Amino acid sequence: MTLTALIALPLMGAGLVLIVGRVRPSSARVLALATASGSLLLTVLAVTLPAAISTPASAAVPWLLRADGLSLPLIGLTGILGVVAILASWGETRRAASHFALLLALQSAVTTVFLADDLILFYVAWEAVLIPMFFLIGVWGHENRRQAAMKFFIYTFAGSALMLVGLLVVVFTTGEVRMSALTAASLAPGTHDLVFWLLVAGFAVKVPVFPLHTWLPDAHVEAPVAGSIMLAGVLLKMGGYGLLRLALPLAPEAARAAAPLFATLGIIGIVYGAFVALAQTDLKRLVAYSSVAHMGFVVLAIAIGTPLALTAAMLGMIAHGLTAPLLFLLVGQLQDRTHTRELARLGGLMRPLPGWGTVFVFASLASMGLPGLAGFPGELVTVLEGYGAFGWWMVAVAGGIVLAGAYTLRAVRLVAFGPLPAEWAALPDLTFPEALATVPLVLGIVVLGVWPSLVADTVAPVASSIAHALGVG
Amino acid sequence: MPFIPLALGFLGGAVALILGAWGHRHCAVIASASGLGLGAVGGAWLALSAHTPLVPGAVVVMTPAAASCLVLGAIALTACSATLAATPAGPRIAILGAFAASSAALVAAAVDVGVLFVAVETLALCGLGLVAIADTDHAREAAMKWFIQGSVATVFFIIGIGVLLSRTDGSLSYAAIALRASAPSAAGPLAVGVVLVLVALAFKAGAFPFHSWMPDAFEMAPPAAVAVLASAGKVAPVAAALGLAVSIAGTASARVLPIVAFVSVASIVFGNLVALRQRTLARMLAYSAIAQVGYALAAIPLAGGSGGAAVPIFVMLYGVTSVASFVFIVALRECDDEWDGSIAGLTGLSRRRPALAASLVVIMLSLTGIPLTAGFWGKFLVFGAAATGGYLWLAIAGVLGSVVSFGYYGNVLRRAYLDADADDRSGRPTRISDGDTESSGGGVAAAATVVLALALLVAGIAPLITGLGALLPLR
Repeated sequence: MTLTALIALPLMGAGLVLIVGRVRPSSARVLALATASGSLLLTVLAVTLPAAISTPASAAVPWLLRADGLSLPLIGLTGILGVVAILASWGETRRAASHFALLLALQSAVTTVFLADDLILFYVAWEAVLIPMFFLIGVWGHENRRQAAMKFFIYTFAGSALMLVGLLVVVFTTGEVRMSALTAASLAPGTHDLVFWLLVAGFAVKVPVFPLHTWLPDAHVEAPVAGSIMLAGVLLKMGGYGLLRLALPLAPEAARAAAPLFATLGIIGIVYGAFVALAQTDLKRLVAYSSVAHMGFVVLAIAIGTPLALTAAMLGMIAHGLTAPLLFLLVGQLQDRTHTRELARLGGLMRPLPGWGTVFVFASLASMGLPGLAGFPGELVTVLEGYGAFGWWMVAVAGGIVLAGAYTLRAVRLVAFGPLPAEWAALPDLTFPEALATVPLVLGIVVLGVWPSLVADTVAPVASSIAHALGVG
Repeated sequence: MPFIPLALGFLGGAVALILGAWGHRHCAVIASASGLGLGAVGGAWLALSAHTPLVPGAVVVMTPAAASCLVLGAIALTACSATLAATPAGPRIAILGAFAASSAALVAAAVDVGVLFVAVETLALCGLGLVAIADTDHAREAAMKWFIQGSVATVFFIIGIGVLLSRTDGSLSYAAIALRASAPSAAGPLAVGVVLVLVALAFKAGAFPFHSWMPDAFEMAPPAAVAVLASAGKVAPVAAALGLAVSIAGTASARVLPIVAFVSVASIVFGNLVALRQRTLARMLAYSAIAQVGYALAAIPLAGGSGGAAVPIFVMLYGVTSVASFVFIVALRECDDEWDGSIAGLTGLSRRRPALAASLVVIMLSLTGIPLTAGFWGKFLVFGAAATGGYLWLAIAGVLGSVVSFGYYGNVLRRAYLDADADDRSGRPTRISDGDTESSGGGVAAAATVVLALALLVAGIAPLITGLGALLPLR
């Protein structure tokens, strides 16, 4: 029942926020925060007490949910980001109740994606994510929000529509909707390649894998802060989750055949994302392109396919799910003060904004993959395992890591240090809610950095079973 | 038995005709709506009750699709009753609407090509009257198109009947055709006859090369009339086409059914691409209806198997969504005299009429086929049948068509929600004062739009909880 509650609580909260927001708009955000915190507590309960989530075999729940090593880290991440997203838009005044309600609905939908054990429910939730995100970008976004919202919807819908055909083939040929009951053997022999590529069409757009990434910068840049946080934090992870959960186990042979292609695209993503990030003049766009690079590591790790590499893919996703939202949060807080994201107009902000500046430097170091912080373990293991699988190609990856250092430090130098333009001299530092929003992310980054086995141990059993199916474990 | 609900629908129209002649406008509208309503209740009961006795030699069988034509007509007339009662032409629209919905039900219920012919022609005549009723030059032109193209369809139909008659010894029932078609020697000619009738039905459904009467008709006819024509008028020919396809499925002549697949993909491509360019809501919906008929036809080649269940469910769910979209137009016209019918005119709707705008979101998402709305399940079944029945390319064309369709359906939402702030700054006066009165009141049509949107949501969510079995009685 806890799993159903994880989905139902934010959804009911969303409805309640809408109703309360009509009567007392000011209390909408308090209620939203309470709901998100309640969900987080529930998530912690679900993650720490496996007894609470064991579903009776008779399946008293009307739909099929499950939580295993692949789901638990991601629902944990979703729970944290749900709270952060609401704190991040604490000062929202335009149609605030709708904004918070959409955020909660989004959280509910994303949680369903990660928990669904029913292919139909999985797809329904997958598409349901688009609806709140469409309105979040389109109504509360920045200048080009309308185009960005349409582009985001149509682009990702195109991927997921092909994925739907793949799921339809699976459901209609096997007559089975439970993911846990489906294996490669349940598919008809000739359909593996077809199912694999149709599913990958949906997942690869979401991740995004290199040539399909073009929706990402627009959507991330135009989205409001909370929207960017959810986009970068959990929506991209849906793609990686789908690959690990469905594409690899259902069609391992096709996945193995495609591994070199995926590895190549992952490496291109790492290097290309880093180069483009290096060339950005807009801080938010820089962070967006760094996401392309970081997700490149995840794609590469999935392509390698060893148990360690798959664990590293999950570590990388969680790490990126903590660092990118923190960076987007900080950029949003900066934009609230300066109303610009142009690197050329910023500088020396460490002096007026010591608190903000410190967290910004911390987040940048985490994004670079500094040892002891979240990004390090996943990327290190990916490169080590990748050497075994793809040999000297890892030099290109190492180049990507160096470039990541370059664009991150360039951003830090241009924003936090150097001469301070006179117009920013009197900027106020972080307020209490703003500072509070950063706390869970900072804590998460440190914890994951020093104690990666917290996630790794949860993922490892599932990772080795997937790798076993792939034949590389 | 099955003809009683149909008779009730026609009777409602006939009573309304008399009442209208005496000048009782309200009574006429109410009579046609309630006649259809009674017929709808009876039809639904007959269609859903498991033990409908199948009379040998019956020419009509009350199927869920046929019942849904009555239901859709009743919904349309009831929802638009306030508008209809207020306009001089209203009673005539209501009467013709009742006749049109009843004959559409007859089209869907017919299991005999002769009865089908009479029903199709009655439906076409009622439609002609509805399109011409505005009595402007444009309306007359649209009616002329309707009439001429309808005549061409009639010719196809008559030749088809001739071919069928020559091979079935005088019986035109689907069962007789199916029986004869199983013999290899007769299969070929019978298939030709069936294809000719299918072409006539494709005209009526508005599938791609036979569609050009539709956009004008949808734009020129009063929205209340289009609510009937675009829902019951679509369900009926598709259901009839399915019945015919079933009659020759599984025989050698099933080889001709792939022709339907090409009509389907052509409709999907053409309808979606042209709909992108439309400026008025009604015209956009007309072109998108071509694409929707294309989706429905996608599973007809599989009529003997999984398509047999998928097509009626898809087309009925589309019918409900379609009726909702035109009731929305009626509702908006009731409360906003200045609206010119354009999509751009919807700008800022979310601030002016939040409830209507929210309903519009559900309607447009359902037309796109996004989950959590009814439209998803129709596409799920149709494309699932196509993908696993050897028409994978058709399923892929269908889902990609759905993606393109968000370009125009989503554009409506973009106007209503995303451009809301632009509205405040632009020259168009924001009518805050109206907001108070409108949010408190609102006409029958507005209330009906909200109710229909809620129904679409419930139908979209319920199968998740109850399992897909909830949809299966609709076969």
